[in-house]
Amino acid sequence: MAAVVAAGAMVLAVVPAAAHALAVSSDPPAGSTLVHAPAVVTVTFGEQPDPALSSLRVLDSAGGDHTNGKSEPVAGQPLSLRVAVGALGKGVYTVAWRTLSKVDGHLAAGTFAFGVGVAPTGVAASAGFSARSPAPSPAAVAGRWLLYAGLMLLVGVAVFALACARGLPGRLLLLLGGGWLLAAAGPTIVAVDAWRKAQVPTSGLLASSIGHQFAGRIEPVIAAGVFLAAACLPRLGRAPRTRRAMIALAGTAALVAMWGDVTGSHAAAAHTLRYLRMAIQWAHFAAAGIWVGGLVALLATLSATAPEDRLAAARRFSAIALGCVAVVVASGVQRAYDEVGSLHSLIHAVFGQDVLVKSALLGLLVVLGALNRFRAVPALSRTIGPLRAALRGEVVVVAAVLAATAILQGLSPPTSAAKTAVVKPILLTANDFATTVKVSLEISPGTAGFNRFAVTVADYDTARPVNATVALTFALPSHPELGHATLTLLPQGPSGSYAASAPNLSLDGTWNVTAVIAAPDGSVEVPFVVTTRQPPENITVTRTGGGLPDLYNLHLSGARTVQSYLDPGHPVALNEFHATFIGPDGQEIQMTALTVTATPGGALVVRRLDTIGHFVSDLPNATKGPYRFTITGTTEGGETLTGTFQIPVT
Amino acid sequence: MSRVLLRGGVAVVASAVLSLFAAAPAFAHEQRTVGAYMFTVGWQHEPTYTGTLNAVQLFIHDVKGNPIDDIGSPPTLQVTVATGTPAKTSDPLELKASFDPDTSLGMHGEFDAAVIPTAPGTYMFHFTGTLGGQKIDEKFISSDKTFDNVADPTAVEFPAAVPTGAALSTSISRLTPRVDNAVTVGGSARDRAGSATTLAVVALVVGGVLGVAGIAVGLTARRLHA
Repeated sequence: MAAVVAAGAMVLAVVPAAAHALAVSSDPPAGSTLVHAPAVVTVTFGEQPDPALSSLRVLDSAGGDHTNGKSEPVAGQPLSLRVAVGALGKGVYTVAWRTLSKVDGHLAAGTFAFGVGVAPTGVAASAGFSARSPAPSPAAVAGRWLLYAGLMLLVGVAVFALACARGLPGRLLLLLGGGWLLAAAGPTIVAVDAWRKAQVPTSGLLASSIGHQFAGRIEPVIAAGVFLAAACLPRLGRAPRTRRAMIALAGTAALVAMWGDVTGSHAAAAHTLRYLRMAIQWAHFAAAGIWVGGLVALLATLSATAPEDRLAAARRFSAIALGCVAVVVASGVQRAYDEVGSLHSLIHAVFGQDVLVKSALLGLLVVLGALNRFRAVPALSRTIGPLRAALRGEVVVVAAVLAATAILQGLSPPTSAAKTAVVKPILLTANDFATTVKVSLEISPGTAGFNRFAVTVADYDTARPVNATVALTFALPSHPELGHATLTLLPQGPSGSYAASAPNLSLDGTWNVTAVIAAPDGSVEVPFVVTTRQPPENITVTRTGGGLPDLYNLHLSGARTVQSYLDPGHPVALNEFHATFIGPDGQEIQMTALTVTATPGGALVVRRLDTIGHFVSDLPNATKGPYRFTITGTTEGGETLTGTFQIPVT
Repeated sequence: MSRVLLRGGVAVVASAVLSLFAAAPAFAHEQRTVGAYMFTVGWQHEPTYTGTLNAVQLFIHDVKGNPIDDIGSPPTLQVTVATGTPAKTSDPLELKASFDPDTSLGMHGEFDAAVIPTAPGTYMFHFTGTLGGQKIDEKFISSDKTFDNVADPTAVEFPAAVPTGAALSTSISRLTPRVDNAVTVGGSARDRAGSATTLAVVALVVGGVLGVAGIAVGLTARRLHA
């Protein structure tokens, strides 16, 4: 019992799936202002994009495309795409990305901006990533509906035929044939729709992720068709055991097709416990199939079966359905938690609302099933009317549930959207000395450079919004030579809300930001102290092997890197920490100075290994464990480059 | 002799440079051509803080750069100061010449209108009147690129930041209704407590009377029963 509870908790607690290849980080970072133009633009997504069907474009403010060649995958980083760009002059550039997920085949697109020599302001600029994933098309929804209905019929009718029915009524064979047709049409429609939207050349269709997903679904369906055809051969009519075996094989092939569908679902996009999540999704699908297909089979054979056989079949199916409902509910709750993530998303996101609709319909199905089990089935020996009416109602509700499921599969789960938020904004509240107003200040993303400043002003006592003229003044005490700068905010939709986007937090540090509120009652100042956030560092590790130390590459703006390693990286009398600054052309950057601080260890003495950009520091008497090396280098042009490496001594 | 001449030359150049600096207006001013004149406008003391004596400072030069000391007698050129949302505008302020011909003190071409800004924010100086027969109607607005916005002085107060008089006044005016409200709430609570006490006393008395009556009735009944 404890093990079951622990396993359940683990499944609920792990990192949720990403789903849909949405941008999560980039180099250059979204909204950044670069001193040097990048030679390459790299975008990392939350889900693996299909490189052949995804693209990056770098556009200037006039719409001119500056990409050199096609976008390509980054070696060792399956979630990233990169594209080379030509010589970028001073200006603002928009990166337009479009991805087709290699996992679930969904399309997504978005933009972000960066500036070379100037801050990326204006409509094209964004402090973060804007992304959109198109709503599922009617064709895609219809295709999925047909696929789900067909596979469920194949699985459910096969189980009913083998476990509940006496003999093999011709109606069940007809149902199986109909299910096969639906199961074959569904993935075909889905693939054609995705192919049309992705604009894949026909020659490359089968080699693309769309082709792979289509194959994963249709091949088992074709196999099921072969088994069904074999079951229908007249000479097998005299060999019922062989025919039943063929039916069982057809049902098994449909279960394999369900697995093929799961490999292209949201569950397959999970970063952790992927196969466990996929297994849960498959169990959900299979149990629903046995339940729903069995319902249809029971309805179809009800009037054509002898009364005693009818009652026995209904009772057997009722027991099977009870187990299936338990599996459907348990696995459905886990999948919903995984993909919705929060109560807020369940209520406010379209995906969550669809989950609610599906859950309500499932609840209705369970109620109808309970009525069948406790009322209609016991009465079956007297009359088939109540059971037939209830089963018909259930089939109608099942059709609606499948529609909701088909729509869900085409939507981006809220947990996926949440992953696109790179940095949470800085949130501060304060009031003036005279306690006339309360002011909240939101700075997004809160890193040095381009930010969006949003202010709300409310009366201190009544909390009513205050209409005023609002400006922010900025001063960096550690750099008094910068002086003061003022940013006037513009009124936003709700009363008392004001915002503007600007690069006023131009340097890392602790800023004095003062909100000047000119209200009808008078003008007041509200002071804030804002410490800029450090954006997440992008470090890749190259395992060299052969006794050589691992290489740590810190990726900086402008396609520059700092390559470092700890030699030998073992607890010996003397380790050497190396740091080399490398430009976009692969050559060393001319550096004038470098400081290195080790934790533990303190400030290290730095010496040059050449006259350009290769430095080394001695780390004496290192012991086993993690070490943090914080470096601050100064380029020939006066720019400060910083980074922190965490390197273990093993 | 040559050394004396050299020293003299250095002294002359140094004093000329110093006089240039001395004559130059404050840095954060806005300069604008107004007809036949050049107006240079800003605060007399910058950075500009609330609650401290300051002045609207105006330098007038002709197109050749010569300072103008005569703005008419009596002068019609005046300035109003506006700030806030909606804007509050001062009465016209008198522009007084900085240069005193009697003592030769002060600066040629400078005119000041004393004012104590009491609210932080953006300020506008509006000059109206006539100058040398030319009609003047010019507005100058404080900003990062012109002259200073007004700020609270707490950022430069040391060692303790002291609130300005305006802030204290506003604070008191905001506190008064809160105190009144608290007193009212306290009074209501006291009244309710008083009423409750009265009710309790009445209940005790009634209870006591009923108790005594009950005992009496009991005793009487017992006696009758006996």
